[in-house]
Amino acid sequence: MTTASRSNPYTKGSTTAQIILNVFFIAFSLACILPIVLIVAISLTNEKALTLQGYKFWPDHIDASAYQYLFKHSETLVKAYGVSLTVTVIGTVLAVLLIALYAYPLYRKDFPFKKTFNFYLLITMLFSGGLVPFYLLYVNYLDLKDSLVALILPGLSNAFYIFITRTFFQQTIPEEMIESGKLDGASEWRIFFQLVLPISLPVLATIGLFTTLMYWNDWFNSMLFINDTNKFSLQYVMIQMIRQAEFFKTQLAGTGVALMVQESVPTESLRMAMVVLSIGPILFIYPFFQKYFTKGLTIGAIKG
Amino acid sequence: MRTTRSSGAVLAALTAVILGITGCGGGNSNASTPSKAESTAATTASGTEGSTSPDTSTFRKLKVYTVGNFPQNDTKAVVDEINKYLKEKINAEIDFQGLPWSSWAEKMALAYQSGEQVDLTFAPNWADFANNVAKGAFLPLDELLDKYGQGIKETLDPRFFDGGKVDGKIYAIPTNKEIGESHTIMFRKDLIDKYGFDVNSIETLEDLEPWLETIKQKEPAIAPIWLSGSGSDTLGYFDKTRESMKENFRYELVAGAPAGIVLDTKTDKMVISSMESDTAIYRMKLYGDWFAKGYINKDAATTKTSTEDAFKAGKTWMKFGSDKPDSDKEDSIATGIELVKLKGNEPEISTASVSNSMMAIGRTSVDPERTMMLLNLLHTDPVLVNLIDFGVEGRQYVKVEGKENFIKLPDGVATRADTGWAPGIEWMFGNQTLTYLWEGESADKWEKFKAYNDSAHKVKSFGFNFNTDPVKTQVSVVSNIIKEFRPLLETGSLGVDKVLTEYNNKLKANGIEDIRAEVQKQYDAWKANQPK
Repeated sequence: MTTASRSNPYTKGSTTAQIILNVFFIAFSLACILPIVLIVAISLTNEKALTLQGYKFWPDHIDASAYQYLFKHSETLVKAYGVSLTVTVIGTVLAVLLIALYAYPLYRKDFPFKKTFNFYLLITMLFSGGLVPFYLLYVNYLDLKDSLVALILPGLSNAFYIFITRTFFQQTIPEEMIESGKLDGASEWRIFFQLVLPISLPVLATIGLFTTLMYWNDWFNSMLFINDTNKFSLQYVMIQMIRQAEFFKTQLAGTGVALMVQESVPTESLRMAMVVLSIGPILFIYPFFQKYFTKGLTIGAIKG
Repeated sequence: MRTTRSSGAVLAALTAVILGITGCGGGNSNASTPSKAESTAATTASGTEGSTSPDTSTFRKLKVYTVGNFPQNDTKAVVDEINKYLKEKINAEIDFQGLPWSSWAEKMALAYQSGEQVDLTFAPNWADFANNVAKGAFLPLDELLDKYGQGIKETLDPRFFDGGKVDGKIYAIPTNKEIGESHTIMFRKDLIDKYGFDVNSIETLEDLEPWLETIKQKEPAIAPIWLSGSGSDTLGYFDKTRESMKENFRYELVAGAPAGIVLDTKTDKMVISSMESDTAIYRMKLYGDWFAKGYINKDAATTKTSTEDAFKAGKTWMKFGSDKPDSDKEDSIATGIELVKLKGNEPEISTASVSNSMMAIGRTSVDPERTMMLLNLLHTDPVLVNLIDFGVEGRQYVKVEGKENFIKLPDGVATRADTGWAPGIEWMFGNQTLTYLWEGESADKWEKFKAYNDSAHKVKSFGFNFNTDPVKTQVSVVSNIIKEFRPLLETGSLGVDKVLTEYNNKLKANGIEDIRAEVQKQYDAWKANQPK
């Protein structure tokens, strides 16, 4: 480390800058990490201690009763986990495939309807039908209420990602490669799956990560289309618990109804425990995608 | 050249498709309305022709929408039991859609707009009722009520019907419960006993001062008054100050209007409470004074801990609450802390109080007649009402031996939430006076309710409902300003005079006068139509 910095002309003699940068980034990382630590701490604090003393980074006593409660009443949670995982995995795989399948012809110069499909895509980016038509389509015409398909379908395609993928193809895949594939007698499908996709892993990983996050964090479609408890997604279960408390405080206040609703609003520690449980799987995904990002950056840099 | 043409063609095709879809969708919903109404009319005619006994020969599945503490674990078992009973009674079953509080408003708006089947639905005035009626989401019920709702007419206090009326037609049936509203303060009994306070000696808020002083001195761990700025409507509560008692009349809250506007009952003029109501300003200053003296928790404007939670955690000893017979007992059971209450204001019947819990029949109902029969049963049939409210006997509750109508939790179950059915909907479904009583409640609870209802008097603007549509933008801006400033003003945490000036200036700048003019206009028009 020291030898490297000594031999590197750009860092030589700028120790002040080094210190400032290091301090800045340490502070920045703390700003990212501390909230999560706090959430974990709150989830492990006794509820009464929370009301009396407020949030603390180091609770006086560790109290896992919020987790005990969650695991005791875990049926909904386990199901929601299952739903979220299923939707995320199926959704991501299909979405990445579909996006690549749409982007690829747009990249091919010999595709005759290129402009048409570009235009069509652009329209969907600029205009949307609005909430009610969206809801009508899924519920009345496709009849997808209370179906997991309704959670997957809306995220399958995204005009912006298609443009990104198309641009990536244009920048990285030489036309000669496709031609040589053709000369060797490969079919269009074979070219796509065995030549194009393998060298496009960086963009597929990027789109894949975005889509994974989108599916994992989605609660809105659940709220719209799902009434069956068994099909709630994890984030929807959580947002329900959190918004419930808000709802009583803001919407019902002053209606004279708030007091009739003798409600057991989930307590702070319980909510935080749920947050901790829900960030779990998605945390493990990052390292998995990491290497493609590094690779992707390199490729971009070289091709300039 | 070729490409231009093709993109032009695509554009045309797209436009056509878009127009087709929107046109089709719009046309569809427009077309289905009258046809549904016609078919309804047809079935009504055929159903009533010749015989007066209701026709229940065809089986119906009715979609019932409600809101509450959902989902519940035991929903299926309870709904199955309800359906068994209903099948026998009116040859119908319900498809029970219990929605959670957090998403109910959005889901219902979509259900009404998209023309989904909605048979029976919870439609209180505070959830866009007037607007939904205007948009045609609900059916007018007068005829149906005459034909199939005789039980409701017999059991429901006639004053209730005004709650669901729009332009003289009934669009929703209020729940049979307490008809009026009043406010009270509840105290922890142990502290009241410890210091020998006499709850009956309190007439006005100012009378509390010596108590607050005592608590502040002797119970340092306790905030004498706990206020949480995040929404609780303290100004609406226990409104007896020396100032307001002297005047001997109240400014009335106007149903549907932003909280900043109240009705001066002497002059029938709308008044902006933070500028023109002496009693409201006096009260804000009283709280400012109390805050300065340390009677109110220091973090009142920002804390997220509600009064109820602070109460349960032992951080305070009193809470403002709404009053009704036995409310202290209900709250004692709910919080697990023994409570005593002051006698609050005299109960008042306002538009809000008779319409804060109502059921309506959707325009898209597959069978409005049968739905009305169901509603009639909810108002007259104790078996059904108790099934919906409390679940299945032996599963969610057991009868208390030797006492009729008294129930308790099964052995080994700690709270109602653990039984798998505790949606907290007793105040929504039909006739609350038919429900069982929990062990610990007064045996004569429902007689007390009746006496309470009889003693309630109507406020002047009873029956008036402000339609916010003409001044929608102003209302939403002003409501946000109110939400921002009220916590500061109501908790007295910053200098009241300074905040008040800023608040009033902001209100003025954002069109509160427009709203006032509109409320006044609608109120005058409404009043001119009232029988003298």
